[in-house]
Amino acid sequence: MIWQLVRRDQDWRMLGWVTLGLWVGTLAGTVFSHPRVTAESLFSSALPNMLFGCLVLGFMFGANRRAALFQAALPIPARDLFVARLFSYVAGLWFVLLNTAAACYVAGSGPSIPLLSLIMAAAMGAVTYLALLSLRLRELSVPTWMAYALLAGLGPAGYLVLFPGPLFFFARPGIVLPVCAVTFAALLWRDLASMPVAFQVAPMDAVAERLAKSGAGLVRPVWWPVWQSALHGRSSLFLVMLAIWLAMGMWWIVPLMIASFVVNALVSLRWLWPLPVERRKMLAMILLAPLLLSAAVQVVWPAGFVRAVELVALTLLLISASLAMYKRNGLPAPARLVVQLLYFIVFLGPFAIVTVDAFHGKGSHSGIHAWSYTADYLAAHLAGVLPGHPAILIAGTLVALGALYWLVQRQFESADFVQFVQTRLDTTEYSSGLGA
Amino acid sequence: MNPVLEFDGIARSYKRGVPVLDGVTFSVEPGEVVGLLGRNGSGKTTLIRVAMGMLHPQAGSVRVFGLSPFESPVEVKKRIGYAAEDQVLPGHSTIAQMTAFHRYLFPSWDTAWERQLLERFHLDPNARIAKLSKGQARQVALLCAICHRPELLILDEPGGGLDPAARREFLEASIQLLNRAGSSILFSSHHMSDVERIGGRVVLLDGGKVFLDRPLDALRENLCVALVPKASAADSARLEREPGCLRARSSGEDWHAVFEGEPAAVSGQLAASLGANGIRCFQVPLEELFVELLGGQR
Amino acid sequence: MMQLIVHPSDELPIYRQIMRQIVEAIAGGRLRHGDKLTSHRDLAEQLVVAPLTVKKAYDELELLGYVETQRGRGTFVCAQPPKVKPAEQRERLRAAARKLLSEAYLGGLRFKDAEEILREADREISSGRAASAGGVRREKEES
Repeated sequence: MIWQLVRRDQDWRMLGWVTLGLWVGTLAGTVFSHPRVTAESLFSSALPNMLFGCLVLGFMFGANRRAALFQAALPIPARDLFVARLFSYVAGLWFVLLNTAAACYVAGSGPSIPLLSLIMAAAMGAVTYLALLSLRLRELSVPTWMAYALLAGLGPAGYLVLFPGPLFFFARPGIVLPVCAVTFAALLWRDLASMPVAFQVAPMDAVAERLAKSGAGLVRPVWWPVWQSALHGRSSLFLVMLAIWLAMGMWWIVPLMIASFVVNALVSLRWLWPLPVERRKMLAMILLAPLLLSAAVQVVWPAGFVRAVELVALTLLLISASLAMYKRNGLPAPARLVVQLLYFIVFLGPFAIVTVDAFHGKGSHSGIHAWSYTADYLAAHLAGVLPGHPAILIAGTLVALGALYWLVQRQFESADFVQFVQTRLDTTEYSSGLGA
Repeated sequence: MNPVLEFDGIARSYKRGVPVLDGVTFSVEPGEVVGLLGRNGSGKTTLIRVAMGMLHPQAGSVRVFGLSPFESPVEVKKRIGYAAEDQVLPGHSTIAQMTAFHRYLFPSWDTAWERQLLERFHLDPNARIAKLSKGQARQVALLCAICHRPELLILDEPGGGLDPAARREFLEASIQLLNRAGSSILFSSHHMSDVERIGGRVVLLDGGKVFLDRPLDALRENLCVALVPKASAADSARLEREPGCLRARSSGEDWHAVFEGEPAAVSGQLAASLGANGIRCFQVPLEELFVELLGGQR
Repeated sequence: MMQLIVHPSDELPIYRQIMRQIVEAIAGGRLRHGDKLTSHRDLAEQLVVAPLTVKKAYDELELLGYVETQRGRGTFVCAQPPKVKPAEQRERLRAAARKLLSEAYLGGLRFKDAEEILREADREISSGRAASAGGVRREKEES
């Protein structure tokens, strides 16, 4: 029975994509760089992100849910459901991390992979997940706020263990692994002992009516429901991840985070579509704040105007590309193909350039920094061609960015919202995650 | 009089080769109440989304108040009220925040009527929408849709999943709107009794096209269902070839066929044509007509 | 004032149900000549049906001669009962009589029983007329 459940678990389908992304990312990062970025350094910087990403992905796809509603109606003992879910997730975690190790090995740095770090990370991930599932072991799913609290607490703790600094003494495998093993076993034993026969759908004790006193006195701006809606639920997760990645200096993931935020916010705002609000206002409300804030952070730290411009340009291009993937009314098929080809060139072109350079023994940037390389090249070239005053260069760049924003706005105004968010709408049925 | 809503040859498919709408043409005149009927998946929601400018048709055009909802979305939406079964108002908002937002967006908002409806539905303006029951949340959605006295009210299965009392309140509010503002209503519904109460005209969608577009009373009075013993006709196609027959299908031991005309005349015509006795004809309510026209086993 | 009820899934369309009940009320004395009918908007809200449906019922009744609409003042029951074509009326009554008798015979009753039932109905209608007339007189005395 447990095996039947594990086999049918929905989240295995994401595992394929995550693993593929892992291999592509690791290989692209190392193979196309010159001199070779060692897999080891790549690994140690990627590891905390991966761990965090695994946990977060799990939440998005309902890891805090012990069983689906339809499973609760079937004649399956709660214990089987619990063990199956635990097994699926932990197995998935180990699968991902082992694949990372394999990818790094293949990428050429040989056997000097810090395998123990990897195992420590996997062990801690497993214990975290079990701890989460053990909370209030009576209901179908753990309350969302509890899940957040646990994540907030254990995530940073885990990070400190792996990259200890002053806590070095506690971070040795000799301490972490046994502690994890014992904790895991203890929790599991306790859960199996106190497992209910069947999971309840709602908590036993009625929740006291928390009066919305906060709303009564405050005068909120009229647009408040729109912002509240955009930030509630899945989309806020992308903002959190955005902040974390920016703080870690991995700014190149930020465009993807902003684009995902925009799509998810649009889904949350679907109650707004039939109302007479101009689309350009909607776009400005969900895109401008994260975009400008990220750019501002980039200018200040880590470094420079060029990186900030690059970030904004990439974000706008990414959104424009995803809007262009769907048939625009009035754009005939050949023209649409041309537009898609153009975007293909823009996003993969820099990789091609860097590869060619590496082949010829020139250039010293890893594949991930391909766009930075291109941006620096363009900046240097432009500074040489145009009149030397930096103010003119800056003004010109801003105008170009403004034009790009205008393009995105035009596309947004004529986009087919329903089709654009259709895949997102479909997945909300499967996951109970953090608000649909 | 210009129609408030005009569909002309609307075609739309989601998967290649599977048209959901295949050339739908009809219009809604000012002050009319049009019921859009059809089986699940027959394209009612798709058509309504096209009217709202939320979905581009792959062929054909739509005009609302003479404007295109894709080129002038804000102007059109200012004069429309919309409530759908799957339209979920943001849960974390309170009712008061939602109505304040609507008051800001719609200059013609009637605050007195809003207060009246809030009282009638026993809704606390400071309650969060997520804490309301399904019926109450729908009532809030309806309130937001009608309190600005729209010229056109579009309802997509407003009664879906609601209890009969809640559905009745929905209808009462809609009729109040009709009385106060002379609006037009386009609504799709599966509750035939609700359609019979307020529908003036009925548009039946089948196979992606408009199968029937008639005033409701004419539909009730000019159509009848004939029960023909199985032995009298070889297959349903034989019946469908009879003049005046709209559809025929098998049901139990008889053929059920929908004909235009008076029951007495139709049974006479069939008796003569098929040479059979035991043919009975009835006028039937809308729900039976729906089942006979769109039901299975043809 | 006017106690009407409609069933959406009845054999008759809603406007015909309204018409029939108004005609019955007039025949039974509950609505008397000169009485004002509820406005079509108010009746629509009361019955939870479309205002146009009620208006259609009123228009049809006006065509048949039962009521008349005075602009700005409302719809009133006609002072004169409508002139129904005698031949049509006899035909309708003949059909109703056939229906009554066949139902009676099916139930095992005989013609005499049907006659008795008709007499009872006659008594009810006359007393109904008297009661409403008496009611009005009593109101006039009290006011």
